[in-house]
Amino acid sequence: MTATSAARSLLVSPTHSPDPFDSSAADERRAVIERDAALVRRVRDGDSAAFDEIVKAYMRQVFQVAYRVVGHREDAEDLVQDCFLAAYQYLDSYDADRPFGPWITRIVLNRGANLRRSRARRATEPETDPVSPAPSALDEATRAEARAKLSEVLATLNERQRMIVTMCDVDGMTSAEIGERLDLAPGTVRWHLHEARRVLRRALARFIEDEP
Amino acid sequence: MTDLHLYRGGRTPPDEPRRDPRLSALLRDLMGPVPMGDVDWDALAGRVGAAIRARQTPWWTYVQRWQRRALPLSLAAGAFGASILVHSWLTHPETLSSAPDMVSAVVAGTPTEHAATIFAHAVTSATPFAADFPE
Repeated sequence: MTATSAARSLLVSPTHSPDPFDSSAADERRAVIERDAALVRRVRDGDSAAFDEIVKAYMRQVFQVAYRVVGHREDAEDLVQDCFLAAYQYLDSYDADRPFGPWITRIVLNRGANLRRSRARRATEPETDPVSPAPSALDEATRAEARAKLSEVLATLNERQRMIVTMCDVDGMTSAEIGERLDLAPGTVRWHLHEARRVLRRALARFIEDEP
Repeated sequence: MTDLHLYRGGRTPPDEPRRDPRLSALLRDLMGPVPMGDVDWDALAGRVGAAIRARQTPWWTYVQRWQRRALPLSLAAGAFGASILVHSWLTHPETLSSAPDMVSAVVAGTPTEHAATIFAHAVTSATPFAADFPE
C-alpha cells in the first residue's frame, strides 16, 4: 500500500479505527500531513493541477460531511464545489503544518450551516436511499412525525454536536475517527456526543419506546 | 467511567461511549445512509477543477511566485540604474546639469519651446553621434 492510498483509506473509510498510540497510525497521519503540505506548496507556486489531487483525496470525506449538514445529495455536491473553491481562494491562510482534512471540514460546516438556513425546507427532508431503504420499525405516519421531531431537535443542537452524533450513531464512526476529522480531542468528542444523545433521547423518547 | 470524561493530551480511555442501539436505529432509519454510491466522483472532481480554472487567479499566487526573486531582482535593477547614472555623469556631465538649467529657465519665464531647444542642443552637442544629425 502506498503512502497516498494508506492516507486516503484513513481519511475516507468510516470503519477505520486509528489508535492514537499506534505508531503506524501516527506514521500515516504524518504522511498525510507531509503529502498535503507538498501539494499546497505546489499550488501556491502556481501548479493548479496539484489542487486536483487534493480534491480527489478529500472529496469523499467532504461530501460525507456536506451531506450530513444539508441532507440532500445535489445540495451536498454544490456545497463540495463551493467549499473547494473557498479553500483554493483562501489557501494562503492554511497552516501547512496542520492536517488539511479538519481545515476543509470547518469550511464545510460553516458554509453548510449558511446553506441549510437558506434552504431550510429541503434540508428538513433528507433523501432516502431508493436502492436499499433501511428497514423501518415505524409506520409511515409515525416516521413522518418522528422525522419532523428529529429535525426540530437537531436544530437546537450546535453544528458540532449535530455532526458528532450523526457521525457516531448513524455512520458508525468512533470518537477517535471523529476527532481526526474535526480536529478535536477524543474526550471532547465524547462529551459533545453525551450532550447530543441526552437531548435526542429526551426529545425522541416516545418513538424509541414505541419500538418493539 | 462515563463518557463525560474530558480528554486533553492524556491517554485515551479504552472505552468508547456505549451506543444506545434503539436511538441509533431510529436515527439511521430517519436520516438514512450517505448516498456515496450515487455520486459520480469523476464528474464532481471535473466540476470542481473547471470551476477553479474559471475563477480568476488569486492575487497571492503572483506574490508567492515572485517573492523569492523580488529582492535580488530589485537589488540588481537598482545597481544597474545607479551604474548607468554614474557612467552618464562621468562621461557627459552637461547632460545631467542641463535639466535643472532648463527647469530654472522655464520658471524664470523663458518660453517653453525655447527652453526645450536649449536643452536639446545641450544634450545632442554633448554626445559624439550628435554631429551626424542636422539640428
